[in-house]
Amino acid sequence: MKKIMLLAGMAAMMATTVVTFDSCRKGAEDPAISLRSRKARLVGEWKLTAGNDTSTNNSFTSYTAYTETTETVSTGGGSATSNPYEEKMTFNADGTFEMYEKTTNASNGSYDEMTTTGTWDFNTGVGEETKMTKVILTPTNVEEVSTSGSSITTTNSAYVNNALIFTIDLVRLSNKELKVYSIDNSVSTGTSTSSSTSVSHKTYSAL
Amino acid sequence: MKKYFLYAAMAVSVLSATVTLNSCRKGEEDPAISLRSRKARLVGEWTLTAGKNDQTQSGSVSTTVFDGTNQIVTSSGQSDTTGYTNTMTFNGDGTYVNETVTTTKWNFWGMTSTTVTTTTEDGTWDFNSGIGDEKAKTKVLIHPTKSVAVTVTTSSTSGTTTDTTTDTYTSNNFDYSMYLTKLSNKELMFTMRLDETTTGAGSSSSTLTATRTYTAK
Repeated sequence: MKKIMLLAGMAAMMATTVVTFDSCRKGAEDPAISLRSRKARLVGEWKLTAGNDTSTNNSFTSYTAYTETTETVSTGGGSATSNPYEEKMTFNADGTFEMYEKTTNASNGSYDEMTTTGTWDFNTGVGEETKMTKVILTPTNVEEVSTSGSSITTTNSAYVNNALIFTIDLVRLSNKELKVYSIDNSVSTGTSTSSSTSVSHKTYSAL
Repeated sequence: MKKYFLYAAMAVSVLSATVTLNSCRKGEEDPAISLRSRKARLVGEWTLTAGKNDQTQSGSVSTTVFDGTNQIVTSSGQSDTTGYTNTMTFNGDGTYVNETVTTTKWNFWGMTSTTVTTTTEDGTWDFNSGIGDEKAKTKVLIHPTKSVAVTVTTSSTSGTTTDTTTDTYTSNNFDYSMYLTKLSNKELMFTMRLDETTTGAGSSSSTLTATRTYTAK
């Protein structure tokens, strides 16, 4: 009888532990159990491995599909253009970040590079929103390098900024994988009408 | 001698308590002591009482001053005054409402026209959490979800017309943040700064520093 009580007690303890870990899940696809904090999981270098964007502006729609090495843009009419593409993000423990993306024109080898640096933060979750489900990015520097033939054009934008921010919604944050989701739909009605939608899903792997 | 020690202990205790409460100060002009949380202080209805925008764009300078009832825009030595009132309401459930009313009057040889535009913006708000050097709860992050602008024009020649434009956003992005300089029970002050200097191909520069002071209703 003592053994049964002991086993029942252990089972209850384990169930409680699982429930406790599970309640740490914040993103829809977060791992059920993680012993590392969300900050510890996010800090590091991430590389884009898959993703897709759908953008509609009034009646024009474009689709973009990403792999680890390519970007394929199509407009729904059957034609699609693929180019070499890479995207990386680095989140540092001191609250700084770097985002890097490079698109190369497959036909002539010219490329566009963009490096954005700044500071990052989590949301705190006032109201119904769950805390640490969003990463808030405040850019302080954007450098763009474009090549065309032998000419290289560099543009650097430096910001003293506490107002302009971007948000990444964390769908999954594990030690090895990061999934983000972004939606931006805008509809104007009344005196003037217009609409635009943009939905993006991206998956990154830890480097 | 015992009394001496008692007084010394009390002094240390008071000093310690003051330092503890003082460390709650996050904005430069925050009250030294507050027993209410920052969320409790922010939640409520606030009326704009003063503000200023200092803006430069490629060398040209403009200044906008808000006095609670008007905005006065000064640029290239000329000033233009428009009626302007603003209230912001932060709710405990994380939603907010920002209402702005602008009034423009026009008079040309006895023909008059008054245009009143009421813009009501709804959305959600949050605090920053303070990763790295940044202090937690020094910024309010604003995420608009809907904006309705109703413009009523009353003209001596063509009567009254009403135009309504509704912008609805479905988004998971915060749009901008406001840095809290002061957050007391009765007064809210924030600054927003965005300076951009572009060098290389197509160089340009622009600066914007905005300050606002609100009083609790």
